Amino acid sequence: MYIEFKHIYKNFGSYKASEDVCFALDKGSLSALLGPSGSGKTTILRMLAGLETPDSGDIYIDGKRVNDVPPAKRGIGFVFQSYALFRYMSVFNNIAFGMKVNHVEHNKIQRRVTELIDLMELKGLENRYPSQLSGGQRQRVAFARAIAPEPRVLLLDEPFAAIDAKVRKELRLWLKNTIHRLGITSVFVTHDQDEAVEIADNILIINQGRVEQEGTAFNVYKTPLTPFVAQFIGNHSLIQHYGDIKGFHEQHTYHAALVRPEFVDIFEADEPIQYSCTAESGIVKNVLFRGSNFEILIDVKGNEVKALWPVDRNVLQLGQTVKIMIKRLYLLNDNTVKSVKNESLVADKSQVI
Amino acid sequence: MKKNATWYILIFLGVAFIIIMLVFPLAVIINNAFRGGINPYTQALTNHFTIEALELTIKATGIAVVFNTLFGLVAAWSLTRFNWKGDKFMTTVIDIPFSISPVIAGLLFALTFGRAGWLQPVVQALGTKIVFAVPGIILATVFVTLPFVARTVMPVLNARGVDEEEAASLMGAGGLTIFSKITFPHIKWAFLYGIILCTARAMGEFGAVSVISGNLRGKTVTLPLLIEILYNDFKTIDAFAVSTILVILALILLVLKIIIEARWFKKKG
Repeated sequence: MYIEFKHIYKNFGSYKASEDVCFALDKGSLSALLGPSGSGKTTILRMLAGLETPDSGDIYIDGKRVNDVPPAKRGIGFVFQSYALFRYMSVFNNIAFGMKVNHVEHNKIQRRVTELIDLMELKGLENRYPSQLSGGQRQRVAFARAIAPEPRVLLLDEPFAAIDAKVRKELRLWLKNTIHRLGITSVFVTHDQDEAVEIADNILIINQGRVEQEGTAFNVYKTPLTPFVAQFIGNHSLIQHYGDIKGFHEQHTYHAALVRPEFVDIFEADEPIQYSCTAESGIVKNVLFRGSNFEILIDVKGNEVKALWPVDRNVLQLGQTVKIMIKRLYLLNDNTVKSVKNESLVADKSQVI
Repeated sequence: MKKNATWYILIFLGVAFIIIMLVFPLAVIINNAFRGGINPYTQALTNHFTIEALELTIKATGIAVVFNTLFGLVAAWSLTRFNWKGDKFMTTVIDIPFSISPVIAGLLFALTFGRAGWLQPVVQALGTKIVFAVPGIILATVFVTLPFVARTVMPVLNARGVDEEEAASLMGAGGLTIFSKITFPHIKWAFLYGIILCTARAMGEFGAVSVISGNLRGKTVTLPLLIEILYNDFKTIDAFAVSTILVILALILLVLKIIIEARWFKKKG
């Protein structure tokens, strides 16, 4: 394990920023700290960089305890949310700064900065100042500046927060590819699950100063371990009386259930379907066009369930009656999640998901 | 903007106010200074009491500005960049000279360092004199102008945040490099502006200095004190002639201030 947090606690006054944070990350991995704002994810990043000191617990980088190692000696590159580019220095000097203060040879600095400017597609902007750059260019300069001194670990705090939506998509892919090409162990903070899912090999869900769950994006999505994770990742509708839905039974201590739109099939009323006996009927309450599909809100026995409907079929109308088949539910109690399949599907042993 | 009646009334009020409060008095000073022609004027200025008062004013101002500049930078830096117990309290303490009447400040120094004062033994042991002497005047000037540099630099440091400094320190830059390469270029104009304000205030200081000086002409009299003495002796021409020195110095500072403000706001925008 390259980076390890062992039982880290950190309070700011009465606010618990970290409470028994434990995790371990592989060398060369790209991990996301994902959580709502105020969950303590940035604090974790700043403690790893040495910009904050934990109240208790140990932090290891490459097998060495770094709690008492000053930030500059930890071998860390940090990309700030605001980029924090040195506004009175040119792009070239921004990127060269880390090497200059460490007295790297002049020729070597020249070579390295030129190489990074090529890699970051910043050619021709060497003499510009940060205020003369676009958001995407600034982000690339910040990234180049962070990796210029060849750090062991790269940390990024909300790297895409200040960039407009279209450029953000391009940059995500670019960042992912560049980090993998460099092979540098990286951790980034985000509150945007799409961003985490798209970029990270490994996601840590942070909530109220704790790591709620850790794993690949797919695992976190498919097998949420806590009610928080089930509700935070992916789209969902909450169902209070899930025992009323055909194919499911009320289970002790599980007081509510979540259903993801992907787990719901809907059919027009006159459509012939396979599981006609377990299909419920519902009424279309809302139709929302989302670009590549429709999001349909359906009233099923007093529960509002979100489902998806393809654009190439008849457009559903408000108040229309449809048949609805819920294939899977996540049952919730206070701190665990149980995934249950619709009984009619289990009996038939047919694979739906 | 559309120019209606309100616009004209407001502009008229503004201009009238400036004329009555600033332009007229300035004209009065110049008129009175030259009432007897050019000769009495130059005589008043070349009088050795005037020269000595000017020298003392420059000396006190110079020392106060140098001291408060250093103090202001250190105070602003430590109050905005470090969290420590009592930093809020210190920020308030720095403002005391702004809120306290200069006369009271002078009185405090006179009582503290005077014959019956608590610190009199220390002053004596050092073999120096503070009350009714030059060190007292310098002390009073330093006290009255203490907050200017700190108070103009602090908001700029606060508004700017610590990101860039953190970034630089993560890359291994030392405190001096961070200050000279990252922090100072940003606070430069605010800093110069603070120095100008500090200088202007130090030159014109009257109240605190008046209490502690003892009015020993040629020894402990600064320009503002000399003007009062001359005026009380009915030497109106001399009083106004000496006033023109302060007016000219003020105008020079004003021009510097305008230049600095223009550059500062250009940087901001």
